[in-house]
Amino acid sequence: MADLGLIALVIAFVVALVGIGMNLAGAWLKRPALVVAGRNALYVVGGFVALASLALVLSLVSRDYSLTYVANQVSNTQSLFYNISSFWGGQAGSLLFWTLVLAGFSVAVTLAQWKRQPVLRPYVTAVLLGMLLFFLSVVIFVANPFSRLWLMPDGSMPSALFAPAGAVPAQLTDGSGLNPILQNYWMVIHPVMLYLGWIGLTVPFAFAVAALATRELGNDWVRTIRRWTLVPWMFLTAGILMGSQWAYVELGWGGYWAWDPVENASFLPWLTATAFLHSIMIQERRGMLKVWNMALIFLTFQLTIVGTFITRSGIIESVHAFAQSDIGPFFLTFIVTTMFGFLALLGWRLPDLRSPNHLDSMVSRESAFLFNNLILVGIAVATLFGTLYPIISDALSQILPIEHMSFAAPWFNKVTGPLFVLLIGLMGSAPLLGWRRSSKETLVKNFTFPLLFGLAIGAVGFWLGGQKLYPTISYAVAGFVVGGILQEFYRGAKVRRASKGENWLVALSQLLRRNQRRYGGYIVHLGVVMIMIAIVGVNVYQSEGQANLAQGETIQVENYVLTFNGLTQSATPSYDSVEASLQVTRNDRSAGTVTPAMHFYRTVAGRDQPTNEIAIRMGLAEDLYVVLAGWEGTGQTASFKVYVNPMMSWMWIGGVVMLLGTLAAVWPHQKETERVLAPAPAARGAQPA
Amino acid sequence: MTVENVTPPNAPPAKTGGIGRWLVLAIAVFFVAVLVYGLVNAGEQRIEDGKAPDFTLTTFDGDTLRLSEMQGKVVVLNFWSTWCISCKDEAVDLELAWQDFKDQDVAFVGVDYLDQEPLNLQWLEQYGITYPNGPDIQGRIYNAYGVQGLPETFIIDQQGNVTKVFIGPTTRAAIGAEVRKLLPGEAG
Amino acid sequence: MNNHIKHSAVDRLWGKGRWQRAVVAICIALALVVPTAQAQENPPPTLDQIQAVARELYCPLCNGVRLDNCDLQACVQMRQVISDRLAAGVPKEQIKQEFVAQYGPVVLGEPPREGLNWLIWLLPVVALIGGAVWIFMTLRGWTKAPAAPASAAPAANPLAPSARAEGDDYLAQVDADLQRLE
Repeated sequence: MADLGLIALVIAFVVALVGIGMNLAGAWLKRPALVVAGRNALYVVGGFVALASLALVLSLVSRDYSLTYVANQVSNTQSLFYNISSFWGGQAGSLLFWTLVLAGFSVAVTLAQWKRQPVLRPYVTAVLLGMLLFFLSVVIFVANPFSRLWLMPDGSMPSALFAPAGAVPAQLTDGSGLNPILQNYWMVIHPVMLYLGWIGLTVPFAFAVAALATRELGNDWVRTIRRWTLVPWMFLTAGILMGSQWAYVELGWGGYWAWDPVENASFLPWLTATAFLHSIMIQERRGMLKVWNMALIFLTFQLTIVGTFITRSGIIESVHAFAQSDIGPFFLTFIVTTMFGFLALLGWRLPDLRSPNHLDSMVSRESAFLFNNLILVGIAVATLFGTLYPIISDALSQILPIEHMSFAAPWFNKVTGPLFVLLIGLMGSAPLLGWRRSSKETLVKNFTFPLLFGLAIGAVGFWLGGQKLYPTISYAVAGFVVGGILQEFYRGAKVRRASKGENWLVALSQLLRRNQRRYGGYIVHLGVVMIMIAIVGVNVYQSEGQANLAQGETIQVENYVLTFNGLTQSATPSYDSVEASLQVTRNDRSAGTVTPAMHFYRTVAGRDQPTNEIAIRMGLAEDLYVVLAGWEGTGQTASFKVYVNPMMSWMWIGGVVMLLGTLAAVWPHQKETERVLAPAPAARGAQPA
Repeated sequence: MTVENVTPPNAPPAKTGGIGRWLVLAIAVFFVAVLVYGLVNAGEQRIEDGKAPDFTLTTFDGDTLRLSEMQGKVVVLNFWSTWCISCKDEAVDLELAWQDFKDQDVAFVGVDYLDQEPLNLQWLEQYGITYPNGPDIQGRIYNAYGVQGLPETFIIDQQGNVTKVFIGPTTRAAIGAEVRKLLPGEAG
Repeated sequence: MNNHIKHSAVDRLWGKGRWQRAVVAICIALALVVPTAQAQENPPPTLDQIQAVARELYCPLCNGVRLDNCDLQACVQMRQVISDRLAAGVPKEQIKQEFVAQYGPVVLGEPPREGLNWLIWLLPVVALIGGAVWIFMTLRGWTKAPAAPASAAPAANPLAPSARAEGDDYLAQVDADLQRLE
């Protein structure tokens, strides 16, 4: 089975190489048959990558411990679900998974766009095949999941594709299994979401390169990639939030985000992609900012690769990073090649990208979008700088009186916190500003209600929130944004009611249906505000308590009183469990029991590494979060950490709202499809085909 | 859309092209340089041979030790900490090895990495350690030697060159063998 | 080698995987922290008081893990040091300074605001203000751009089809209707 996978990988590699050649040759020599053959090469590569993936999954499921990867990821007691998810749980497997997702996106975009993009398609296919070629080379030459374990005469067990001299295949009867802390549903799904996001963002990059190469720099490709950017962006958003959810429910420190390099790596492309989603609207409407949008697409793509490089090459130590490996030089070469290659291409086509820049007024949505871009890119640059600072400071410490150090949350929060507040303020202002210009009276008309609403919310926040400056500002800004969104929905619905005689509910849904992109965007903004409220709530108002309790003793945190009832022990096939029971009263009223626990997995990886099973009682106003930290003897006393996290649920609600808003914006429906398709034949007719 | 591909004749000339291009290029080069530096330094950095980095250590007794002032002696440099469980395995052996060589031109130095008082002093007492030990303030010596975990023990010859590194707990016999190789008259 | 606590490598593993034996120790140690925190002059600090200091410090052996959440044996011991210092009546800020002196500025999670490190704090601010000024100047240049491109722009930009695809005329209708209503 493993041999089949390896052969499939090699075939895919060769076909990808040939396919790139056919596409480029076909484009240059204007031979459509070659281009079609190149496209078919992409389908073949996709098929063989899928075959290799299937081979790996079957090896994992059948516990083929002769493979190093299987021995490291699977164990006899591990469930089928985690055996399958081990596919993307480790270094080599996740790189194959990356290749698979990339192949999936490549095939999907080719199927969907082949007819519409006669000029761009050989280049798009060539870029996608080039990406596939790179990942295939990493999977084949550096991190091969089909590498086997061998037993040497001296007893050592090297991992290699082919038998080293004198070696016999190692005969393991059990594997070490997935790290127990990864055995969580969020942990299984969130990398998949991240991969779908990161890899999906390759598609707009491929189109950008193709547009530059062909000089087809009009609005056509921009419209094509809109959905191909929004959908990966949605996955990335979901992945980041699910990762936070995992940290929250699994790590037991009452937090969700630690500015760890791995977290930052997922966040960086999100920031530039968000900037791109906004500034591309200016290009669509005004034909401006073409160079800048190219730069943003490129940065987004580059940051996904750089993020992968940072977290997998071992250049920065991280709590979450993969074990150190040899893929660093491969990735670095790829980064350098794509970076200077793209810059050269961009420089070459610069004259074609020049556009007549004209702005009617400084007070316009265009300028709000530009400042929004500045802040998003600013946050990205600061985050990247902070992430790379251990390297930068190490280099600088050789020549300057600077200490080698790494930053943690305080630096990131202090630097990016004010930027986020500014950003969200702009997010609320931009929809209230008209394209091109806003007259004084429109400004007054559009801003009065949101500003008053924001001030009111800020005042309530000030009064309820202990007279603190930062949260007050944040809540006022949140109120302003919400006020603006409410006003937009209200006005739109009012018009529909007046002109179509619909009731409010129908009017609102029709509003969304008729202009999904605009109102979908507002819903996304609403989700962002909810997340902001959650972040401020937890960061500023979290309370915690710790205590070592004997049975019957209590701990009080805020208005919760918890009484320790005792410990119970139980066992399942894969782990032993120690569970504490605490009686909860809230405001002197009984509120049931919570049962935080610790699981001791029986795998090699899990031995001596209990996982926290945190008891979280979620609520709209606050979460009660109880961690069993340890116990003495047979459980007469146990120690607990108790957190009360105000507003935490709004992070997940906001995340869902963001996803729904994005779906509303991209959901294809009859009318819109017609409208998008309508101009296409005309545009194609204009091509010198 | 074909109209758009033609550069409008009245488009502004490339005025920012000059500085802008160089700036972008400079940022790209800087960025790549940082990544390359990181990758080059990410691998094994432990000083496993060649010149041992000089250091100054203020011992728990208040004396100041300097490696460069120990030229002419074989130096056994041990990195440990009280939170390092396997350091317990070698603590007694290290002291016994020191007793073996304390009358010869051999110096033992214990570097206590990111440790906590008074636990470290209790440790020294518990294991009866008599050779000089001191705290590694801010982990500077640890970083200078590229130590990657505890315990590690470096053997430095009379000229100040590292000749051997023990990774993980070591023993009286292993240290003895390495030190004897360097002492005149005992080689062989 | 298997006894060698490779914390630098171990730290690279996921989450708590790195804590190996330390976790077992913490279960005992956490339980023991309070009883052994014997104060000479002050009452022994409560766990909450210890954590209030630990919350503002970061584990120097890990990356970005806050000291109050770190289960490494070293962190357990560091919290014991905090407990001892609190019992001795040392104020929080001074304990933090002692930690910086002992373990380096990494325990604060941010560079100290002194010497060249000021640059790290000022650079983002300067860059942002610089960027804002640059955008402002550019935008102002654009508003003053000659009228010729402005009149040429509509021709050059296929605004009509794309904007129609966006339903802009629909929005224009909404705006017009609104004006009529108000």
